[in-house]
Amino acid sequence: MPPLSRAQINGIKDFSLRTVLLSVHDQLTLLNLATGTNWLEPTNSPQHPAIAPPPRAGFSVVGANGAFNVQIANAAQSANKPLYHELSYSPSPSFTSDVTTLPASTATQQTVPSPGITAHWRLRSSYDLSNWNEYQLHPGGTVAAGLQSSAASESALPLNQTNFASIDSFSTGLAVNIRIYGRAGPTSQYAAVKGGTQTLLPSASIINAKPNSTQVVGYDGSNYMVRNTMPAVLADGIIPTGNVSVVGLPAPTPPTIHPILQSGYIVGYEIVDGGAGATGPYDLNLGSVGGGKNAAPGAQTIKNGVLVAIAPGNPGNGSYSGGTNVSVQGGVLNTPSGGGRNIGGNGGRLVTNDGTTGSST
Amino acid sequence: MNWIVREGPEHNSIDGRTHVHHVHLVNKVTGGEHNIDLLLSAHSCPECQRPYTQNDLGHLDPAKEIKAALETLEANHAAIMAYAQRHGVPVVLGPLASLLPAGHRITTHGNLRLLHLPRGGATR
Repeated sequence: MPPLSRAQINGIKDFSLRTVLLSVHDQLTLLNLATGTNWLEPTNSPQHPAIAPPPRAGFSVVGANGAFNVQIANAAQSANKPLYHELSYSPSPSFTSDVTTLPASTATQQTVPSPGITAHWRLRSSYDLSNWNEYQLHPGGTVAAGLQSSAASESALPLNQTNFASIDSFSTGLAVNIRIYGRAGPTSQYAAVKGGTQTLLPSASIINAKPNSTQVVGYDGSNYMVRNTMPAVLADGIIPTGNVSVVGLPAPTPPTIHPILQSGYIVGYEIVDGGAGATGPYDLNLGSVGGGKNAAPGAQTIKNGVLVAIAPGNPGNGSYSGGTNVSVQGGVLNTPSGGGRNIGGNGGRLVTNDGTTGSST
Repeated sequence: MNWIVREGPEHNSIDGRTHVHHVHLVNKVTGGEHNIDLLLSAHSCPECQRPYTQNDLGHLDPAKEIKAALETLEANHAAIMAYAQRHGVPVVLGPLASLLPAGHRITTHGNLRLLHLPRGGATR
């Protein structure tokens, strides 16, 4: 006897009878699927019948705060049987490598701590842990678990984080550079440790840093950043590298300046040569003034280290001699020695930028 | 050259928000990495703290900086490889290593990828 089909029932013209028979047919089909038998065609075979896999369940995965949160929605079913779900994830969209398979569970909600992991997800389901339906990939594509945010941590939590970078600065004459490197010297990479994981971070040359300053360097996974204060490199996702006292530029090439005299007054200043490398105003002094008094140059305009203008200032008492000259000094701040220290060697705690002496290796 | 500027615009570009020219260098053989960051910032007057008006930043020459860094890194690479070959020591590779020079071979030990240099001969 051929199995009863919906097509046969749909051929019945009586609407009420057709409706009742379709309902009975669907119920029987569900039971047959769930039990792996055919109630209208029982057999005497001793072989355990294969239980058909269940219909696909819906699922979604959301990553947040270093964990994957999985929500499964079972397909509509009336069979009173446990429904097992097996979740697996992999960085590979084809699931050919590094596949992590979670234990099969009837739970429809799961949380999987995996900080920093980005993965593809898939799901399959079964009534008996033997006969599974087809894998279905997470419809939203890859999911990033993210990292635990500071908001989810205790305030001032001691972080098991350190690094072994050396950091220093030097002047090239026109600019000041910062170097970040490992124990083998400039251009060698250095180790950074977070928890039980050690990674090697790139060495770096940071060119044109601010002279005569203290800077804090951090690394965001791709690039280094130079900031004035340590809190600026404590944002989530940034690895604090170290602080450095940046050297100053070398003594500038002094400018050559002639006073412009008119009837004994100094009415202006001619800049014959603007010099180079100035990081601050020059100290200008008038010499061979004769009877001149009280003249003083005005504000200096320095562009890119070159003196480009001097305001007339005070012209004096009108008794300056024709031989009056301008002597130049300064033009640069005091230059501290370069150097710095890593934020390693800190007993596993981040340190503040308090200027205390520390290891620089 | 074993050291090169990494391919892709993100590895040699200026961040318009932070005014930093980022250049990422990589060693194709060892996976070594070195960054060059040129700060395109205007310095401030130490007296009044007003930022100086920058001109065309003519004192910065990224091509020259990259060339100088590549030359240094390449020389260091050659020295390290010669040392490894002379003493028969394998070189642990980084994840960005992508080039296997002729005559070399790579083995894996756990999570480590090791580069074995040929016995004798040039190793660049």
